[in-house]
Amino acid sequence: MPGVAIGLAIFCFAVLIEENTGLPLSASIWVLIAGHLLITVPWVVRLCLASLANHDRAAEEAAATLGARPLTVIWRVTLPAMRQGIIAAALFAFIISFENLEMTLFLISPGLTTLPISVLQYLQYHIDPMVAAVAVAQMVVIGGALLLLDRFVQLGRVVQ
Amino acid sequence: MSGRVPHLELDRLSKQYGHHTVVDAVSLAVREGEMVVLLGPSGCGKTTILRMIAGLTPASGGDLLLDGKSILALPAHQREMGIVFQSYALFPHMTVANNIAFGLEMRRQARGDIDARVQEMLRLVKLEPLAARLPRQLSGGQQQRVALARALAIHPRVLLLDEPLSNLDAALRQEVARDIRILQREGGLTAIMVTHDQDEAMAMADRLVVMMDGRVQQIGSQEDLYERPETPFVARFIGHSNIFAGELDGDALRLGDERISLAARYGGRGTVTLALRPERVSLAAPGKNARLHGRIELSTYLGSVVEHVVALAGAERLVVRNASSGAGQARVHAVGEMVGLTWDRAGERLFDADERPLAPLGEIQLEETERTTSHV
Repeated sequence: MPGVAIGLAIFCFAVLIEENTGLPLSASIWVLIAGHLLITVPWVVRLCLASLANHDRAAEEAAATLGARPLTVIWRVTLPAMRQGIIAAALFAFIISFENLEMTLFLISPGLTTLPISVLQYLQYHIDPMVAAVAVAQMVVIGGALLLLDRFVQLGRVVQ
Repeated sequence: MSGRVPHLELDRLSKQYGHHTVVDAVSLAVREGEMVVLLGPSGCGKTTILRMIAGLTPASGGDLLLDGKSILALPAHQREMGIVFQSYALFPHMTVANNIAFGLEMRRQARGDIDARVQEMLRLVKLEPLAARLPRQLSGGQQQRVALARALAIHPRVLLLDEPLSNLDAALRQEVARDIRILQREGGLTAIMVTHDQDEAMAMADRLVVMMDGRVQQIGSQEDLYERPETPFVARFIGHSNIFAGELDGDALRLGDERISLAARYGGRGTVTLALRPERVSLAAPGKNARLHGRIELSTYLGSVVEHVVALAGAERLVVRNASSGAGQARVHAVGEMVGLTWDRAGERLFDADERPLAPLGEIQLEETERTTSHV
C-alpha cells in the first residue's frame, strides 16, 4: 500500500528531525497538513494544467498591450481562464484528503485525528448505529462534492 | 502632425534566437496615418517585427522610435499599441462590452467615460446588439470586429494587425479588409499589418515591405513592387512571375538548349535571372515573331482570364494569363498545341547574379511584330 508507505516514511522523517533538532514534529498538525498536501498537490497541478490546455496565451499578451501590468494579467485573464480547473481541483483535493485513511494513520496523535480514523477507532470498542450515521453523513458530503465536481468538469468540457 | 520626423521608426531592428537570425537589421520609417503592410512567406520574420513593436518580444539589436523617442525599453503595457491577433485573443470569460472596456479600465478612466467609449466602439464596428454576448457566442467575423474595437478603444499610437483576415472565410475577407481600411483612413490611424497573402497586402497598403528570411527585399508602393521588383523573389512573390535562370548571350537568354529572345538589350554577361509577368506574355503563332516556343500543357478558362501552362523544350514551364475579354481576347487552347510566346520590355525583368535588376539599354524589335495574340 503506497499510502501506508508514504505515511510511515513521513512519520519516520518527522521523528528523525525531532530527535536531531528538538522540534516537536512527530505529533504536529503541520506534519498532518503537509502529508495531505503531498497527496493532493499532484491532482491539483494536473487539473489546473488541463484547464490551461486550451488557453490562448495571446489573450494575456493582448491584455498586456491594453495596459495591464503582469499581475493584473494573471488576476484578470489567466486565473479566470483556469476557473473550472481550480474549482474541480479544490473539490478533488477535498475528497482525497477527507477519505484518506492509510497515510493519516501514521500522522495522528491524541487530540489530533480525522473523521475516518475516529470512526475506525470507535468501531474497535463500540457497536451501535452511531457509526452508520456518521458513514451516511460522510457519504452525503462526498457524494455532494462528487456531484458538484461532475457538474464543473462537464461544464468545462462544454466550454472548451 | 506629419512633420519631418516619422511617426514610427525601425532602426536596424534585429532579433536573434541563439545563432539563428530571425530579423536582420530591418529599417523602416512609418508616417503618421500610413498603413504599412509587411508581406512575406511564413517564417520570414514579419510577425516577430510586429511583436517587437508591441513589446511582446524583446529586440536583440537596433532601435525603435516613436515620434523620435526610443520605446525599446518600455514594457508592453506602457507602449499603447493596439494589436489585433490572428486568433483574435478575446477574453473568453468577458462579454463583448467588457472586452472592449478592458483597456479603458486599465487606464482607470471614469465608469461613465468608459461606457460612452464602449458604446462608440460598438457603433463603429456595428455590434451594438451583441454587447452582452460572450465571445464564443459570436461568429468569426464578429469576433474579429470585437478584437478590432478593443484595440481601437484605447486610442492606440499605432494599430498592429497580425494576419487579421486569415481566419475568415474568403467571402468575408474582402469585406472586412475594406472595413478595416476605411476605419484606418477615417481615423487617421498609423497601422502596420502583417500578412502572407499578396492580394490582401495590395488591397490594404499605402506602402508594402516585402520580406524574406528576416531581410527586407523591397519597400515601395503596389506599383513599385509590381512594375519594378528589385529582386527575383519580389518578382515571384508579387504577381507570380515566371522565373528562369540562364546565361545572358547577346540579345538572348540561354536556358539549356532553349534560347529566349529578350525584349530589350542589357549590358552585362554571365548568369542572370529572367522574370516574366504571366499577364504580359501573349500567345502568338509559332514562327519568327515569337520570342520563345512551347507546347500547351493546360489551358483553363478562369472567368476574367484564361490561364495557359506552356511547357518549354526543357523541363521548364511558363504560366501565361490573358484577359478573356476586350481587344485580343484569349481563348482556351488545345492541349499539345504548339504556340509562340511574345512580350514587350515591360513584361520582362532581368536580374544579375547578385539578384540586382539590370537596366534595359534599348528595345529589340522583332522582325514582324504582330501584337495580336489570340487569333493563332
